[in-house]
Amino acid sequence: MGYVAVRGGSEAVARAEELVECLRLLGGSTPLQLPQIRDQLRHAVSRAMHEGALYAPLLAALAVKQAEGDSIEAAFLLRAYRTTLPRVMASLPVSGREMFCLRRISASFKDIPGGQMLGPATDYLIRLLQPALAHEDVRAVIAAAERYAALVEAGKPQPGAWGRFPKVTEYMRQEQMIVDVPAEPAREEPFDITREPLTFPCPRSARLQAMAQADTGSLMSLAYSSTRGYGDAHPTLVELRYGYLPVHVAHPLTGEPVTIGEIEATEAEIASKAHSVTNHAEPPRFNVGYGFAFGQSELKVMSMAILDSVLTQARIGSLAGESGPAANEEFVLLHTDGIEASGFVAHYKLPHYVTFAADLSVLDRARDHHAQRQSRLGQLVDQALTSDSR
Amino acid sequence: MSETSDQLYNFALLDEDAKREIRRKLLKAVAIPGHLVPFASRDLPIARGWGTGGLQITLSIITPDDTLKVIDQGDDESVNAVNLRRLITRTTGVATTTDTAAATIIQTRHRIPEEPMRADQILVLQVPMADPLRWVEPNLERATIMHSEADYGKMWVYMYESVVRAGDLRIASQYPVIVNRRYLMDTTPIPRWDVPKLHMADTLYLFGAGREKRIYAVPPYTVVEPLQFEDYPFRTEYRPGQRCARCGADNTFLTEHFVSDSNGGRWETTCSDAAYCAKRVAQMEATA
Amino acid sequence: MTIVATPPTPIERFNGLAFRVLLDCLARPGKVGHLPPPPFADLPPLPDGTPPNATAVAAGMSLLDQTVSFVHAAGEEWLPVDHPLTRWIALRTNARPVEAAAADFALLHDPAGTALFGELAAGSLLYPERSCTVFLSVPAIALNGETLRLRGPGIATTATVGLRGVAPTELAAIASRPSQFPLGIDLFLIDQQGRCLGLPRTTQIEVI
Repeated sequence: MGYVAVRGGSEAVARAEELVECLRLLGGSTPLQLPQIRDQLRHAVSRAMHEGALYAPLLAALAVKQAEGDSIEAAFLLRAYRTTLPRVMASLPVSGREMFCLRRISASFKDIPGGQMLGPATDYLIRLLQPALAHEDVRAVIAAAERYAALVEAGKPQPGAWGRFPKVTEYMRQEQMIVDVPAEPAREEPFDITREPLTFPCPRSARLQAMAQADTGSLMSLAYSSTRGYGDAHPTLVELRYGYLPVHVAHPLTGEPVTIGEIEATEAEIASKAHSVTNHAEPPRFNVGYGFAFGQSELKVMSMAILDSVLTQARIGSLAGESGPAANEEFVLLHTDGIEASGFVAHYKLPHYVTFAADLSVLDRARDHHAQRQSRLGQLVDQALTSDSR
Repeated sequence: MSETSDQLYNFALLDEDAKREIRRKLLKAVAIPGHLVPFASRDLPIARGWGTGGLQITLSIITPDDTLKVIDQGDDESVNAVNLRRLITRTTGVATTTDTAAATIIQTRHRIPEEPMRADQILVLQVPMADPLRWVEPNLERATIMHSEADYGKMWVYMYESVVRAGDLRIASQYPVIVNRRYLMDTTPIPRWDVPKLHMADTLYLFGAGREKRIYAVPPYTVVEPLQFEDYPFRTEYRPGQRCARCGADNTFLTEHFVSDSNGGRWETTCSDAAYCAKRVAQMEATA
Repeated sequence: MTIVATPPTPIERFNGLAFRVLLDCLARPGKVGHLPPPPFADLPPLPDGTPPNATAVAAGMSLLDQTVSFVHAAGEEWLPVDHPLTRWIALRTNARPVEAAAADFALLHDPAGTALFGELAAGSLLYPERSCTVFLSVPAIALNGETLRLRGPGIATTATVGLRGVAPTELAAIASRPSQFPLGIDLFLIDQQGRCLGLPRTTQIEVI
């Protein structure tokens, strides 16, 4: 048998796995430790968690290591692990107001109740490579700890300038500037796309869950398309916040809310165009879009919030799919899941020689047909020429 | 991170609730032949598009007493078939076989075995696309309405246009059929050669599309008719005089492949159903 | 090869084996399947003091969990939410007891329950699968009997099946059950010996 590419696969698969291991370690560098990844590759860990739909920083660090930094592969590893876990219960709804903020900014008002807080952000950094990082050692860790201790001692930031804040949307809702997404039939629990098939039209909780675990780049690309010209999103960032959110559940016996821990998360709310009111008797207001993700994941939550607003708008105005691809709920939700999209694109690496043989048979028939038509054409031309020459 | 153990997973990997959901949907699929039944479709340790739908069905129906065969492109030794079989047997311990006649469950991608399957066997097909209306109506919401009304006009127009443009029905694989005179159904990318095997068969056919999250079925003894026109009838890939270069069969689906030899190699046409071909060769050698 | 999974528990094993019988019977109307013995025996009695058909209840329960709902009836009466057997089933499956029209599954503990078919969901054209699946206990399914003649998908030509202890009106109700394809209810008839007959909505039934 000369067909080694597709047969006798067990041996090849085992060797392939070995080679991957070799390539990772043959360079001779010190193997990465999970805390290093968790602390120093924070954004890779965040991304594995939100796209993998599992909040587990150390496991996410392991996934990042095992995937050798490939973000989609890392998320896939976490998802495949998550699917083996029982869904014990649904946590109680938690408002972003409860977030212990490390960062909160608004682009819609200069001053907001509680004040803007830039926090850890790279937005205004000049993107120059820092050669010092290339030679960093443990002294850098000590120096950072000393700087941090000095700041705390100097009382910076001022107590009250960080922690929990009211939300900007609270003010806007009070002033009737925004309209909330139309209420849907009440459900005991949010839709869970891992337990129920996603059929369209779908509830907003399904849309938000699908986008919360979608691929960041895919969401960004679609959100961008709608703001750039293939759509009519006109987003303004009402508020972006990043920090720690408590997780509450109802006590299984007493039903009382119990806090069982906290998660690192990012949340965005955007306001968009003022034509969102269903009832024309009411004055126009802004429509709101919501984005949420584990970890510090600002591009993801902003893209999600923009798409949420565009999709709500499309649903209300029955414009699904008519104002750009980003306004088509099916299009957005079915093509932005990184695990599904990558799996399907990669599956074209699998052998397709049966279908290709069937394709070849159709090609043969089409060629026969073409040849017949050409010869008929040729006969007609010959006839015409012959009659001309007469 | 929990400690690793020899028996870390459920029997057949999926938890009981996931299996139960799939079992409920399978019963609906059998009761409504050809109808696409949505299911939640769990994440699995293999990638979407690599057989997760078929795998979830197999894992939901398999019992410790089953004998399993897994094929990809008709071949038990194809890398993906090996991989799926490894996952199923490691989580169930069931016996496996390459002999179509010896299997109770066969999971397959792109082929139906050449050897006729019996009433006590089940064929599980991996499905990439699920909805045959995708070609003419990519929007699921609208396609669902079309199915509910048996409104397949757009599909007939598509077929007609193919005749006008290419002079023939130019659908190679994944040939659309009408099941039980009601539902338009995607046959998955099986070649046209395999389509007639769906009609009034002894065997139960189960179809799973993991990424598309749909399950459907063709029960035994069910009318399955390919879409065709009177003057442009459905035709298989069969060519008069065709012959397998290895076993000599003149009535199987053939694929071409390159065989290296001392002269640099040559192209050869052989049965795509590798186990069937090998069985025939063995029988011929035994009688020779 | 190392097996990395635990062997199925007795209930999981019953569920797995029972499902294959149910699937086979529904795919082949007229074929009489044999369900494995039920994995429990401590069922609370029906209102008249008789025990329910444990195999039929176990077969129905094998498909129940917290995402689906059920009703059950003794005679022509739906049993209330607080009936001991309702609670027994709900506790072991987490399935919700509901009104008949909303039920995903119906357990009819005797053939008189056939009078209740009309109250069950038959699905919609958009979602014909959102219909009720019925487990109907009957005294006896006879091999090679001639009570019903069946035709349709899953049957090569025609099939006949014998039922004992089912009244003519009940047979008529089975024959004329809601089945406007693709809508309809799907039936499993299960007798005291664990014999099982599947009657999907596609089967045309004639009382001989």
